[in-house]
Amino acid sequence: MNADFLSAISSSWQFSPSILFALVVSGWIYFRGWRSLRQRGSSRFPPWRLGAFFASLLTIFVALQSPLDALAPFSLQIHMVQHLLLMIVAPPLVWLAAPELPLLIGLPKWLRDEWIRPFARWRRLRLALAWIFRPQVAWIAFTATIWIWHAPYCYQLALESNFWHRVEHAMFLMASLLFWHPVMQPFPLRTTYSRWLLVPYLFLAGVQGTILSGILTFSHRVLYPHYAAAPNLWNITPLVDQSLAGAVMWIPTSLAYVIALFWIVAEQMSSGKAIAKRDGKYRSVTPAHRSPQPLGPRPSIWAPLLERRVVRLTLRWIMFTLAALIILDGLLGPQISALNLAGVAPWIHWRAILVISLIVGGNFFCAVCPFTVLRSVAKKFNLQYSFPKSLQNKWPSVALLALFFWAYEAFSLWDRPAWTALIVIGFFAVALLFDLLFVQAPFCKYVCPIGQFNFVQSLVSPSEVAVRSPDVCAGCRTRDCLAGNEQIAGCQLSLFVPKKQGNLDCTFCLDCADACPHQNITLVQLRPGVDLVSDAARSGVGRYSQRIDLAALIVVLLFAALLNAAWMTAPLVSLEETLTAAIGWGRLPIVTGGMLLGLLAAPFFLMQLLGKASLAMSAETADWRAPVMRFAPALIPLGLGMWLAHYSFHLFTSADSLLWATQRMANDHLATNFLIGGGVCSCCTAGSIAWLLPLELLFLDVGLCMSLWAAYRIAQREQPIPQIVLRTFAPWAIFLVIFFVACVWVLLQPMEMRGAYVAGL
Amino acid sequence: MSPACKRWLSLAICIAAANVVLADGGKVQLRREIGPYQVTIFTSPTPLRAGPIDLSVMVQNSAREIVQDVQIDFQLTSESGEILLQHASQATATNKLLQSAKLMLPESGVWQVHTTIVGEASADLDFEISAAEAHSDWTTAGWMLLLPVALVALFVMRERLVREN
Ligand code: SF4
Ligand code: SF4
Repeated sequence: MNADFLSAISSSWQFSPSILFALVVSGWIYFRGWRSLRQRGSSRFPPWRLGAFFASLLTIFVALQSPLDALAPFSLQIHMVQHLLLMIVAPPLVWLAAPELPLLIGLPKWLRDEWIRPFARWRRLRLALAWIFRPQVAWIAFTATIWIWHAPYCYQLALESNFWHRVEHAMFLMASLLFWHPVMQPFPLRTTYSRWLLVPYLFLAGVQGTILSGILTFSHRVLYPHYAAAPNLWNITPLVDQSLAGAVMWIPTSLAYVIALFWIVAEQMSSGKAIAKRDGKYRSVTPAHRSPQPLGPRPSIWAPLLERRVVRLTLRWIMFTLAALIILDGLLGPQISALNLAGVAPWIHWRAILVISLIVGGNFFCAVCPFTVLRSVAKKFNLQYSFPKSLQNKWPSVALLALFFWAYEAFSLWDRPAWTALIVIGFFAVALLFDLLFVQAPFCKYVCPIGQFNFVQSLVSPSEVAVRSPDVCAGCRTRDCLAGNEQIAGCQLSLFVPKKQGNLDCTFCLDCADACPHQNITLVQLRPGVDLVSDAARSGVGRYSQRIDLAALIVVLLFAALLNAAWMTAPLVSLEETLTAAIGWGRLPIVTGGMLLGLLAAPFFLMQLLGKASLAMSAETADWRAPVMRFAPALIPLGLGMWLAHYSFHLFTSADSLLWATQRMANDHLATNFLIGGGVCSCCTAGSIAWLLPLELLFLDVGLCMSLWAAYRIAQREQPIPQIVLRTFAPWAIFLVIFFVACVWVLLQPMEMRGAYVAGL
Repeated sequence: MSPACKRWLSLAICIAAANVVLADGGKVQLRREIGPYQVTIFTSPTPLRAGPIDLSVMVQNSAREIVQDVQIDFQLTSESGEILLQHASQATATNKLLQSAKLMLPESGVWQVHTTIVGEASADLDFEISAAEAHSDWTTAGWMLLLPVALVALFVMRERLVREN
């Protein structure tokens, strides 16, 4: 073996995100469940069970992602080793870990209660599963899978096609799990048949394995043409490789069956004593002490990071520095957006990171908002005006957001670094001015378009700022979290945390946490979406179902998600060009008309229609705005799905543009060596990166499902009679599906690459 | 094991297994001795289609040792005269035993592939590949539509079960 080979093979580890994700998530769920069982005093789950589960995950990882996988296309023997890891090593380890209880307990409670329990009680499903797990069925499924996939046509297919290769491995793993299930009899399984049945079960498995191995070992021709044509790495002929592969299959599998056979026989021979001993052992254990569960909601995984004030302040100053760099490059750098930080950082990277962070955690941007960095200084000179009562609602931000989306399109903001820099300066200036003039941060609450976007989308985020223990608040008289104290300001958005619910208007700044003298506030886990369907009265916000301004904001953001993406597709760009040429007044009136229609007029009429349809369906007499206010929150997930799909398109097709712009800026100011690559736009459709379109569609799918769920639950909340629930829900469901189809159509169109060079992917 | 848990476990395993098994694939397109080299070329996907494709090469010397210090370039010419140029490298290959070139075939039909290998010796290799029509993005969208349909069906079933219980 030459050095090239060794270095190539040692660097052929793969780290496929989907595989890592699946393994890490299952490992994490098991660990959570196992830990919880241990805390409850269960002696059935000693640490070796946890070790067995992790060992099974490691085996799967090695089988699929190690250099074994790189060698498998060149050698049947190596491919066989890969299969054996999936068939005789990983499955027994999985069952040794007795994963049933830990996996169930490790899941979030709501998932268990709402999704697992109803199906667990479904008799037909129970019978079907009991049938599948019967030894006879498991044996046939296992044998059939092995023989089918070793048939030359199927094996060849798996070698040539990635898809079929995945199916083959998945079937091997699943069939083997079925096969080893009765043998390992994982707790709490109690068989209704005699364990002696497993003697012929294992013996016959050995017989069929011997026949198949024999065929491979003694065949006089190469059964899989792929290996006859593949490069020869070790100077052995394909036929010898095949014979050795047969031996590799023969010896370990036979050994596994024989060991299992001896184990079963030994167990049965001493069954009475063994079982008594085993049961006695578990009965005799004194209940282990149960560690006290912390009271109150579970902290979010982000809590340890964001709870620390120094971290928030540092991040805020980092954001401030980044904003300063953007302003600097926007004003002084070349006005080529793809090469300017102000061209790529805000419009490609920041927008995508913003929506991703909203989904994974919450409104983190506002927590580290650079525009409020000077707030504490401004407070010293604050003139203490109150923001006008008539403007204390979301209407100013609806207007500002519509204005922003119009300006973005009308003036091609993504293509104007200097303008972008001026907008950022404008944000700083207005935020500072508001902080100098007014009390209670009305800029964040009523004006800032970014804030409004974040507030609305964070209604589906999995974290919220909340109290740890309501009892502590019940005895609190100072309410520092709201009013502040001498050291720290309280909530400047006037949210009283014990009565706050959800994320609306919360900037995640955690000033309330710093102010609370009892350290009773933190970032806690929130079930994503649950806030959309609750109509509780909330501190500072009231009931969603009585906020027409909030409904308008949600609707405008929903339609903006579609319009913002659609306006970069070929059909809309060419329509705009045709109309511009036909009318002859330039593109401004066309963009203005389009925006008025798409963002305001069409949504208004559609909502009116939906509101009236909802009323008609439920035979309710009220203003059409009432159902719109009730159902508006349900529109948020689909809108967020579209924002995410659109922004991830820009991020993934042009991620490296940040590098080019930074290098160029460094070169300008520090005279470094600057080498630009790319320059040709080759990725104008999501389909040009194999996984991007499916990913975008997945975001939309999840958004649609969540919106449909929320709409249905809102209908249920409002209507006690099931028939009326469906009728009330129907118009919203139809609208959501039509809107979803429109989004899919937009994503399938060729996209104009705005202000970016080539994808580096 | 209770049936409910079996079901959950089977479902989890199905999902995990579907993700877990990303193995290298690829069809051996040709294997030839050219000068001092033995060259094997793999193509992916199978069947080959217009759209993103992968051409991977293994170069071995007469002792069957893998040779990495060679420059490999592809020139693909379609029937309509479209020309694509692409350099193959180990960096773009997942399987580091190979040198791989990722290309975007803009059209279906027969493509003439001219491969240049330059190392201690130089070699040229010509062959043809035939690409079927690209999958329409609508096909992908169609598949992806199955997810909401399945989830809605699951939800409806769940609601029914909850009511019945
Ligand atoms: S200051 Fe702390 S304890 Fe008092 S009401 Fe606010 S969160 Fe509760
Ligand atoms: S409740 Fe108020 S103080 Fe607390 S994190 Fe939210 S906005 Fe900040």
